Amino acid sequence: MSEISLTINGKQVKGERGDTILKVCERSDIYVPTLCHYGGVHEVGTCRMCVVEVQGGRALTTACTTPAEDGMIVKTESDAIQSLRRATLELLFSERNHYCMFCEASGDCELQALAYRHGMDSVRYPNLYPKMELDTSHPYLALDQNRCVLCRRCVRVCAELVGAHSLGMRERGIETLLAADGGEPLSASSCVSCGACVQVCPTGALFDRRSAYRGREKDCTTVKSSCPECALGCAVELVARSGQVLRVEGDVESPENGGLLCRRGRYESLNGHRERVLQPLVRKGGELASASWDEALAALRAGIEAAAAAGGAGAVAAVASARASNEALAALRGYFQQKLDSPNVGAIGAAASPDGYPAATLQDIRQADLIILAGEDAGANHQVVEFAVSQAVEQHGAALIVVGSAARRLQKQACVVVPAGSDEVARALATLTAAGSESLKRIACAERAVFVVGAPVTAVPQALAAAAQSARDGWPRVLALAPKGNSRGAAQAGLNGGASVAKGVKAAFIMAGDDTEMLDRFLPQRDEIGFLAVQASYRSPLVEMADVVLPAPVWTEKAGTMVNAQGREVSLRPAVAPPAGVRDEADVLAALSQ
Amino acid sequence: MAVEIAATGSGAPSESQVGAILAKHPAERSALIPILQEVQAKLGYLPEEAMCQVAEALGVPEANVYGVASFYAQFRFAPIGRKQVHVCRGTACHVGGAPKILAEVKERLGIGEGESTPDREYSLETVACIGCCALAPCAVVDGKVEAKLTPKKVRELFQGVQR
Repeated sequence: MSEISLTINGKQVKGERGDTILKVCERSDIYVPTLCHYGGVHEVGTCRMCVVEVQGGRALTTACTTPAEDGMIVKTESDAIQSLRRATLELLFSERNHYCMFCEASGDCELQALAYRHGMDSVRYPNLYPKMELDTSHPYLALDQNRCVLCRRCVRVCAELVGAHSLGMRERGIETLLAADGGEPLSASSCVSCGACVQVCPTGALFDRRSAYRGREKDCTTVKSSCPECALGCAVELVARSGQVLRVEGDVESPENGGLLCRRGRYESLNGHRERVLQPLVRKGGELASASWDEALAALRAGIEAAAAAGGAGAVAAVASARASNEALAALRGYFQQKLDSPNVGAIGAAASPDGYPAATLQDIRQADLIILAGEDAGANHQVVEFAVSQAVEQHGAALIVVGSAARRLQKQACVVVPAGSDEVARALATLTAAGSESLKRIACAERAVFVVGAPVTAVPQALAAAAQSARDGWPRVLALAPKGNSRGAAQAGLNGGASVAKGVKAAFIMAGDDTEMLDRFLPQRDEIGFLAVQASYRSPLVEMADVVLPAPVWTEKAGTMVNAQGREVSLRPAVAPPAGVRDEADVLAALSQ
Repeated sequence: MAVEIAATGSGAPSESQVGAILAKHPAERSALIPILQEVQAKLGYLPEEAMCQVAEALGVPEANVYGVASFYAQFRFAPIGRKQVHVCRGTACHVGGAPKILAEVKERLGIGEGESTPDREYSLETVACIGCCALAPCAVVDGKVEAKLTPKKVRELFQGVQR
């Protein structure tokens, strides 16, 4: 990278060869208004807000698409520039129906902010008042063409960062419209519902249906937290108002997910209509009845300790979800392992990472030149990984080898696909990387190979050992996916991942929290377990069959830490307080030990 | 201009026809427009399934194929009639009463601009000028210029058309 030097607004500034004028301005903290520009995707120069004056140039030029050259003399502010920018804004406002007072994005709208900044107190052009469609077919997001400024941020993000290529433009000139696939409603399109388009929309054209009209930007609080829906632990921002989480946004400052989230993380964890457990319940005379925390904890302790006294420590079991925080798991172990000495303490979904190979980050995947995806349907279970793989293949030309069932889209991008059932993946991987194989040669040639392996694959180290004969400088790297937010943390705490309630257990405590998936698996065993206590956020069939029920906070109400798939500690931070009768799980369990 | 109309509706014949066109071209993004032109020449319009087939074969997202096809005025997304009716709305024709002519054609055929009759006998479009302003108001019906039209002439022209 050679350094170049420019004069911007009479000041000497430095840049690097290959920078655009806008990039040099950003490096030097010189403000240039932008609308279509979005970091991480290619520049299109459609909005014309970033026009600047280059000495010797024929006309004003867009800073975002003009390469900076050594010795260039640039002005970012002048009467001519101001006048053109304002005219551009007026054209944008007159072309569609931008009525801020009715718009969900008002107060958090880049178009509105630019209009204020440029003193746009009137529009000299006649309003066109076009009749525009509103697409509300999608369950989570809506498209209002009335607010669209045709910046194509959503189109570029959908194609370049997400790899879905669902969005495009149709028609031409003033008739141009944002469209999904062949003009289908969003719900019928190939949209993967990741919501990235909504997050990057500078206006209110694409908006979140759940949070729409429930509070302006200034009315809301934003808390940085981590998503517990899978072991990636993506960085999120929780936007809340009046004790309710309105939406989940990706944290654009995160070098890992960089603002991208999956359907599950952004939408599904908030959009369920599930009944909460709001106070402790104790079975009295055959019926579950409300109880105080003291009563419930006393009943829990009595049930568990009676079983331990009668049948020994082995008659007592505690099973957590590996979605529980490290703190909650430690408190659980404190009571059941340390105090009661029970051998039956586990966490469903706990999974250790394969030893001996450096963990691959999502950034590593994006920069890889060879990706081996084995044994995981990344599209369904770890969409954000799928996005990173797509980006590596489509934007940087990485080679992709798929073993087992990956998302259909990734299969199409792969140079080698080895079909394998979930129990055959390890063997297929071993064959693939057997001595002298074509793929092994490929791996040996790769400078930055990344293995992405799904939870059911245990024989990875073996396959890797074959690959690693050519390892260099910390490559190949491995991203071993895991099913739960804190799968690694639970494994590090020594908890067994395949936990089930052993035969002979007379009393069990199941700490499900907001993991509703795990409770149903204990239904067939309910009758064998004499005393059953459940800690859960939501009502479910097993909750109704328990002897003691402790209400649990959901993840947006919790503080704590988790260890993600790459072994990095990520933090949960509460965006809202739990409902009145719900207490922090770690505190409750710590109280049991006393 | 006579257009060969394929039997559509079943989907399968057009799939093999599109396949034959795709086989003639390299599976590259740059071949998109020539392929779309040939598909339209063959089928008379661009059915959605054909665009999906082209997208799949070229590895170009469907949204892009649709974006390109809708960008150019030459591509159509509805089946074309065996006889095309182009009503001129150029200046001379407009002054000569083109709006009335157009209204009469719509009334006679029971269709709007860009549409085809259910039996696909006629399709209707308006054009900016057909280059014979001395004959205004005029239209081109099945390749033949109909000059100095009046609503009465239009009625006679489409006499017996099943609506």
